[in-house]
Amino acid sequence: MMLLICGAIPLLALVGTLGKDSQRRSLATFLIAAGVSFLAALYLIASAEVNYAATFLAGYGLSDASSRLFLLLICAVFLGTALYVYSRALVSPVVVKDLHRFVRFALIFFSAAVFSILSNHFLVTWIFLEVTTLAAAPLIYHQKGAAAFRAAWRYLLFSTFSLSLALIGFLCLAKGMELTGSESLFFVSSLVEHVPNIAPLWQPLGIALVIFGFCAKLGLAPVYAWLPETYDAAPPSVTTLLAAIQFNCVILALFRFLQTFRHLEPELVRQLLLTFGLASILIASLNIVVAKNYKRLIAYASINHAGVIAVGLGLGKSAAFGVVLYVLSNALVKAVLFLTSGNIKARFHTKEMADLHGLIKAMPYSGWFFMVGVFALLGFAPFGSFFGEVIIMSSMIEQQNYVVFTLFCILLTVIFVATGRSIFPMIWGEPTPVRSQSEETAESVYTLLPNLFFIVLLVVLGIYIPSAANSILQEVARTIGGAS
Amino acid sequence: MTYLLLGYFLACFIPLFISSWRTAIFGLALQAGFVALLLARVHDPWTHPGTAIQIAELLFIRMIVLPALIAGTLKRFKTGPELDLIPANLVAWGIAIGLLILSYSMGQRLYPEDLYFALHLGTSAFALLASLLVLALQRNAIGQALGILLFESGISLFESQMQHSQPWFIQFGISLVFLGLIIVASRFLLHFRKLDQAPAQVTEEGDVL
Repeated sequence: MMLLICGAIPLLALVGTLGKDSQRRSLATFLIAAGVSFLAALYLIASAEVNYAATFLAGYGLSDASSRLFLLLICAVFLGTALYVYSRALVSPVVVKDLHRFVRFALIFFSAAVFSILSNHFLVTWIFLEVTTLAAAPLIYHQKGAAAFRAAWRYLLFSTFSLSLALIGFLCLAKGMELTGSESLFFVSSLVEHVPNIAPLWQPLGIALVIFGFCAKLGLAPVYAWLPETYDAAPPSVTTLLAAIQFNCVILALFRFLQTFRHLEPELVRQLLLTFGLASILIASLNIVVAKNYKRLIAYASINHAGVIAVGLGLGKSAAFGVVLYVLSNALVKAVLFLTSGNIKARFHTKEMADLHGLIKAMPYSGWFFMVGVFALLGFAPFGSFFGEVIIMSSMIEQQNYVVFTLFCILLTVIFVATGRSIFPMIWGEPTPVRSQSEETAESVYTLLPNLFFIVLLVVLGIYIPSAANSILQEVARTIGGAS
Repeated sequence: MTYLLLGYFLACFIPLFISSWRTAIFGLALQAGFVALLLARVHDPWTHPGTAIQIAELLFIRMIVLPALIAGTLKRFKTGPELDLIPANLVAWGIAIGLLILSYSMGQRLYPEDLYFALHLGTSAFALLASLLVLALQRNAIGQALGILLFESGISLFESQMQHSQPWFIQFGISLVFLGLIIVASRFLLHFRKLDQAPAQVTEEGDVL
């Protein structure tokens, strides 16, 4: 029941956004819906046993460790984003215009994201992922100009294409099941228990298409071109929704797919994920070296992160726990960096790194958050991303995958040096003068709180994971091939 | 049923070589009609609610709503009649013919002993590959939208080969998503035409949210 409440609250909150003069009401509704969803997700994860798994809604919904963990993660990020939007609306009258429209699409997006996570059926997950895409497209160009509009169009095209590829993959698997006389049903819980019998040729074709489709939706190479453009052009709150919420919905769908179909074609899955992952890290490293815009640089770092996750998933086994840790850290890092970059842009009206200096002096809180976020982005200790990467790398050694290990280390070093060289001059030095002393210059407590919360979580994931939380992470890792 | 596949193939193939967006939209509507007829022959829509919804989607959304929305948007802005889905040159035509041969070879490989299924698979593979060619070569938003709709048409033809239909509410969800896609895509086309006609009115206001 509580699971359904998490997804239904944003839909019910849509009522609060109705009417032409509902800007302030929409804002309050947005915040309340995000807060209540977060509390419900927190209650769910605290009250259920780690191994508890049950279906609901006639088998179409699934409550297990993975769904509860990802639900809490996206609810936390959504609450942080709602607080950010609230703080921006308090100081900027421009933001309040058309706010009800923004809130409406954001609530639909979030509700669809929650239902995609709770789904026990691959096609239902697919439907909700498509809904998140359709709701996100208008958000990308909300109150923005032609460049954002073109980015939103590219996002819509690429996302529709990648999800359609995944759908063709599922249809191929369904056809393969039909040819062997099996019923073509895609319930995750049933597929875990009973190995499906799929006709030869259809099996590798279907598995490859689904993985390719999901990887394209994650922004992995070769279908990555939409991601930097979209993340750069969209408002920071929308970029956070895409990078930390939609990304994790697709990751969970991929986890579920690997959980059910990986053992049918283990070598194909491994080769595909390693190739996509390494190619993405290579492309990200080349683009980070030449990046001049901090938001675009973080966008390329997102491609790198998706690549690391794909490599970890390709390796499987002992890397699985590292992947789960890395996925969680990745969501929190993205939320911190994109929300902080919104504050920086609002103050200095530029995204060029060369135009910015002395952030720590000019905006002490945002400067610190940005610096800590970049440390976590680069995989410094003591953040969760560091331990995630270390576990994935140790798994490469354990599996005697020395070529992948060498490439991985070289590319990550390039990214490390290039990011540090570009970002650190922004943080230290004499501050850049502000163009206009408007009311927007104050740092709001509402944007500081979620960032502080995300950073504390990042450190906790790196230093000390409480045993209850560790059990949940282990359970999720087990589903994607980790040791039980 | 082979003549229905032939009809679908012609509705997919001919618009690639005719420089007209009206022909392309008419081709998409015809393709939906042929897929609906194919589906009705595989499953009885009166006993399979999933199939009934799928046929309703094909006849109502793909044959009526889609052409009306897209053509209405384009007519409203007095878009010129010409639009090449693929460039009118021998290289592009050669690639299209190559994809045609590849698609039917794949159909034959997967169904070496069943000519009808081989043809069915080959035709859907051709629609999918031709749409990829359109998407790869188009810089125009209208052409890209038509490319993605051709891709969706190829998927619906492929789906019509399935012996088991999905539960009605999953099919209903898929149909709603497709309706949402064409509504959002037509809104985008509308904005693109506005941008083309009055680019100076649109300004970059900055990252306000």
